[in-house]
Amino acid sequence: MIFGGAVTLRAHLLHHRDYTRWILMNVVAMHHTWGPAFLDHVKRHAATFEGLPHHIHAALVGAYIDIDGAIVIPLTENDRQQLISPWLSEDGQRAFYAQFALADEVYTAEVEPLFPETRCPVAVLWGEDNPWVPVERGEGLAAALGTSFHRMPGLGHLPQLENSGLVSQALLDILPQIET
Amino acid sequence: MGRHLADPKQVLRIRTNLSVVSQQFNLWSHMTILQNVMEVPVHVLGRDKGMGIRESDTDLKDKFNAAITSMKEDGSLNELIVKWFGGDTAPLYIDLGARRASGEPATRHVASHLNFYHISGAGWRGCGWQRSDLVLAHGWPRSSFGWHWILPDLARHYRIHWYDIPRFGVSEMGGPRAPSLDVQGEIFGEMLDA
Repeated sequence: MIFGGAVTLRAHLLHHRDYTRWILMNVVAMHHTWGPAFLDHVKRHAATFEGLPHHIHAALVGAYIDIDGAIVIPLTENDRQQLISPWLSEDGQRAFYAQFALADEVYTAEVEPLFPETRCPVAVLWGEDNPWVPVERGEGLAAALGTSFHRMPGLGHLPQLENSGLVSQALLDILPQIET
Repeated sequence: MGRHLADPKQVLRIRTNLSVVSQQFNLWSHMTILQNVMEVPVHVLGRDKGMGIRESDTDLKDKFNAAITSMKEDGSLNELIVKWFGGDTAPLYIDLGARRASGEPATRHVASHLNFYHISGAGWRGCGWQRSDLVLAHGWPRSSFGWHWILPDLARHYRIHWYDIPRFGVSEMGGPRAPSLDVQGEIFGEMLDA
């Protein structure tokens, strides 16, 4: 994930926080792995999008969450609504487009050369059919980190909401394997 | 005030043969209803699992599983997990405003609070694992909500911490400047220290 992965990578490699073990699942962590064309487009016109009428904005968030080629198994309606709702308030709408404006490869490019300095066991876990960040990117990340790579067949970019049983099983299997 | 007439040893003998079924108190959400009911006979009285409830009681198991599934679907399980796992499970607001006052750099331009939950399966016995902390960091444009399906399974083995990244979910959305990824990395570090 664009955020979670980069956030934990930066905390570890730049801000010296130690983890006992670490799983990176569907993360966007390397140069040139940043998301779809839509991201670039909004980034260039963020102010325009901030002014969209509420209902258009709501539809756009929904589309970005589940139609923009991110997932394989459709979300339940409630899950979908819960993911959308934080972005629908006035502040939420502003915050949503602000994230596009702030998205910059420099934040991941900055940590990439530091990958060899990882100080704990890591595993990379990927939804095999992830249309947003293809499985090859995950393999590349695992190779760069020198870690094991694990696939979750039939899942996309939001596996914890697509098939939660498979995800918790994968996490519970992998975590003890990479214990120090 | 009365006087005890019964032989204390006899009372003790009778008590050890009583069963207790809790309907909403002290239940573990990561266990099936069968495992919850068997918890006392198996772990306290040291009985063989076969002495508890018959595994063949599938009707009960099916009903329980159906109830859990419907709660997962309408999202109410998320709140219940927090309720079930005891006293330290309420959302904890880390007051970044106060930390800002202490001069810590990462908090300079961000929201005054972020939403940080933690739950633990304290009381879980018999899994043989060293309980350790597991922190979940969500992606964009998601929120802490995204983890709700997998929390019960993970809480069985780990003490889970999960949060809404500032400007996501129910963390504060307003404020002077949205934090970029460099600041978010620092905040995550601070959160681990908290």
